[in-house]
Amino acid sequence: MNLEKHSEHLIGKAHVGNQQAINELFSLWYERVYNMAWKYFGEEEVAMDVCQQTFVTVHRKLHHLEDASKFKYWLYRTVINQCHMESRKRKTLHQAQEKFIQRQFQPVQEQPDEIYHRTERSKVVLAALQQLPEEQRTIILMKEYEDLTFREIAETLGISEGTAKSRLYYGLKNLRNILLNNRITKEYNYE
Amino acid sequence: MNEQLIDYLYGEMTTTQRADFEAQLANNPTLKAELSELQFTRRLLSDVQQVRPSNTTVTIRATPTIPMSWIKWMAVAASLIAFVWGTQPRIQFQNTGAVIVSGITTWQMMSKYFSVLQLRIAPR
Repeated sequence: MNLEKHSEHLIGKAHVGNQQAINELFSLWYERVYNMAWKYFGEEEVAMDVCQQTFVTVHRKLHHLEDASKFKYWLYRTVINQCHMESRKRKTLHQAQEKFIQRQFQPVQEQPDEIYHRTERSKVVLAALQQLPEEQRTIILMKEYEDLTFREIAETLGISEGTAKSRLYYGLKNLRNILLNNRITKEYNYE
Repeated sequence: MNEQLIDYLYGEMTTTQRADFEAQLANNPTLKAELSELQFTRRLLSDVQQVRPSNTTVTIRATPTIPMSWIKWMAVAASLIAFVWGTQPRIQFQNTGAVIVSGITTWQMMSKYFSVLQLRIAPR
């Protein structure tokens, strides 16, 4: 049974008050929800807070979900909404930008080989993601890491497929410019 | 053209659309360069790996079924009762014998209203 079918089965049980089914449902999606929030904010603590809030919201509103096959979209929409709320609350974008600027000015000479190590690049890419407008960042996370189709993204966010593609296009272009400013270039990394 | 680039980049084209687009790429160095840049950005994004979160506990508090304003007044009333009676336990005589009654009883009743559910979640 695939993830979505299994979820539908569990939601059916949850609707009749089976707490164990809710527990299992949350466990199934926990890693995805956490990763979405972690990549959105680049901070583990905030990601965990978003997870908690997402599951509390899902628990409270699950009985309103009439079509269990839509759970995936509904859950992603909930996570994204929580991320947006958290972002406004904590002004994380501003903090992340400060961190990013600090990283830019770290002396590269101290660890010339390691600085381009995958883990380091990962940190820089995460920080760069925080600099993107929310709407572009959201689409990049959904497409790159959650592997949703454009139709699924459009349904989740309530936008057209064309808008989703356009946001992704400009998101990738902006991300590249940010990364270039941070000296992540083809010459240094891949070629 | 932007939409086509994105469709090609993420493999969301039919075989025919793909062949047409590749023909355009072959004759358009600017388009090819732009595609290359987008592919490079995607490779950088792939450096950010999926992480496995630690187990967590989600605490869910019961949703009040009556307005919060009522609950506040009930809390005030319960506090007064606790203050007046709780500090001075009384003895009531019932069929089964003597029972000590205090304001604590009131608090126990209120705490049931604010019940808490804890879900322990581990990643699968």
